[in-house]
Amino acid sequence: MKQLKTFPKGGVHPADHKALAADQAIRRADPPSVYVIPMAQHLGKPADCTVSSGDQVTEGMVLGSSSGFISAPVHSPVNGTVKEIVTLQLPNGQKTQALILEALESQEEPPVYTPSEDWKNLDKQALLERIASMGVVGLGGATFPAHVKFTVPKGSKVDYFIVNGVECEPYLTADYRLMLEETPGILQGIDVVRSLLQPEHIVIGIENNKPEALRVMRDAVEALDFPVEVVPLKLKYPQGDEKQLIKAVTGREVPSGGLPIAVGAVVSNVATLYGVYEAVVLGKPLTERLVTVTGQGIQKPANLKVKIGTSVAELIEQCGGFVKKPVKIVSGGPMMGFSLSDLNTPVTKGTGGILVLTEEEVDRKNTTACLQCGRCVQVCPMGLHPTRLYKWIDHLDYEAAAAEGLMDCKECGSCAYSCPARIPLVQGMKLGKLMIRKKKAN
Amino acid sequence: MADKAKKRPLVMKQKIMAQVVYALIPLVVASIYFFGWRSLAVLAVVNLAGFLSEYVFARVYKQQVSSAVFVTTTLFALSMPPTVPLWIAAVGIVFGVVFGKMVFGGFGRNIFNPALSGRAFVYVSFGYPLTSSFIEPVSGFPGGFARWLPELDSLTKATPLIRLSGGQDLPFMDLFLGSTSGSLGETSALLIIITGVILLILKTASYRIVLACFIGYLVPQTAFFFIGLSGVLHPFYGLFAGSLLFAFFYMATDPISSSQTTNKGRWVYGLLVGVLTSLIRTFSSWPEAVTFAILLANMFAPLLDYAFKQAAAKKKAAAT
Repeated sequence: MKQLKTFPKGGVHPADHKALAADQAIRRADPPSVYVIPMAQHLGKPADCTVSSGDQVTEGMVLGSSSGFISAPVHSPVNGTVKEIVTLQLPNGQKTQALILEALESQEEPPVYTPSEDWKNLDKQALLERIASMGVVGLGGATFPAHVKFTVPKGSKVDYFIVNGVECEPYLTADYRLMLEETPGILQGIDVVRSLLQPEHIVIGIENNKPEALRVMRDAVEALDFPVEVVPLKLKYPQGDEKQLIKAVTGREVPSGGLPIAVGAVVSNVATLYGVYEAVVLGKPLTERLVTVTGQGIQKPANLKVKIGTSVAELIEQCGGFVKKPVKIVSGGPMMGFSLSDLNTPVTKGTGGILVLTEEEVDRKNTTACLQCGRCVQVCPMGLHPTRLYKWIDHLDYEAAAAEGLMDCKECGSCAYSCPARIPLVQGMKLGKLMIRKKKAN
Repeated sequence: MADKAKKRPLVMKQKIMAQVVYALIPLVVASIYFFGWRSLAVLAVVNLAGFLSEYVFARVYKQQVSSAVFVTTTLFALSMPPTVPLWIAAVGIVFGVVFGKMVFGGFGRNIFNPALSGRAFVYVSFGYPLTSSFIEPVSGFPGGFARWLPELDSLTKATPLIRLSGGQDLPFMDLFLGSTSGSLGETSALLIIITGVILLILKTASYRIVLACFIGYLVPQTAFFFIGLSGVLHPFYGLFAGSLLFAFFYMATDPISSSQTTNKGRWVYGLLVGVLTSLIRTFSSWPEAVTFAILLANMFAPLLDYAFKQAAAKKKAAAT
């Protein structure tokens, strides 16, 4: 058998725990009565709030407008009233303005979205503007505004448009379900982006632990009038990272500090492409996303289509509540996600999963001294030296860490996962990167 | 905070260290079979003395005792000759733990392998009782399980290493299975290889270091042998005699004192251990070559880590 492709350096194989939610078909979460809509739901500048307390809003209306090129607007998920404008701390530590929105009892008819082919008459600029105006951002977790990613800089050419169906984080199954259930939407999203990028090759990368998704996507691309290759990839974390996926599929290495376009590649997640389809073909702004609610502490794991702004507590209740005492509730995947301290935290554009983890699933041993075993160095996909970087950061010498490649760290968590001394390496890297960014900003 | 500290278990859980201790259990059982129940007494005394030495420091520093101390004590006990006076064993392990590890700041901070530091100390200080009185192991059933110590009339047997370098021949199978005189846990090559390979498979020990040790030892040793230097051990017999296998698998791979953060560092470190072993065995009057080879290589470990890290950084800078 042919050797399956993967990235060459480092990587780990955490238990994937996907069976908990993999067979749960997507269902729509019941809409709550109160929504919390943060203005910072994407990478870049937060949106500027365009409504004020007491305003009536309708579903799909702009609540915050894009405040620059690398920014995205925020839309209302529902008809309702703006109750209050507050300051909120998101799970990643960022502070942001947020609207408290109360759904109206006597709802007007929600807008109906019907597919249309009219986008085919638009030029590139108009298409990008439509994507931008609908608030589409990268739904794989990075929440980078989609229109920026699909703008090819002058003089660059796209050799590879890589569709990311890897979903390498353990537990999460939302992208998997999307590939099975919304295949046509994803393919139309690919078609839209194809007209923007005009790539030489289109490749869909899926890890071989999802044979069903591979089969469905393979069958589906055969019916297309343009060539798309579905590539099975050897299971390894963090293959879903942009740089690792490019390396796995094309063998090209994105230079340190560079963007994928530097090696002629653009990567986009399947959920983002579905968002592009909704925005461009249906004319629907990004007000909903898929969230996997799972973990051994939840009664009924599920893949829910959730209106943005719904609270985590609401989703947990709709999944039957807790079965065992949870010790940790995580927003996102177990490797890169954030622990939640407050269940009233809302689902935002970047929330891919809610994990309710029990004692058996969480390793809470104490940190011991570094034993120099070198495992973190072996598994780092970026070829960094995590234990050395951590020591620099621990001694507050952030520049020294940066000189040894700290800024290349993707915070994938492979090092912390494999550390036998349980050193909080990722937290260290995050702190170091933050300090360097702060220093640069001054 | 004070309450919380009290609730911490006395010994910290370290999975890797526990694995090494489990892997050593067959060797402990074998040492009882070959050398009688006294070997268990050696082990008990050494464990107690080693644990107490670390405990005293841990109390003062308000730290936990590391599981690693039991790896150190068990390795040290198994590297003692069967007739070792118990007080010498105790002195050795106290020196190893205190001066090999705790004075550097405790677990994770030591430069030298603590078990080997202790071993080197007692071998140099008490040379006569440790090297002159090796005894023939017991064989057959029930072996040492029915004895305290093997017959004492065979008391003055030299170790295979001394006998081989004296020109005597020894049956290979005796060396391989362990029924020759030697240190408590080092005689059975078969058991060391089996448990050692298990550790390699579990990735508790680095296969690169072990492999490099063997290459580093075999190449010069074979060359010396065929050049025909006088008194050179046959390279193949040399592998199974003395503490070479035991030290390559268990001592050289200690993550803390070896060079582990780069693969190149691992290879060079292992080669260094191997070459030094061969050189010391061939050109010095001292039979305990591996001990000193590893202690010497320990000194180069931080340098290797640093050198290869710098090389990697330069390569990266050149690429961008």
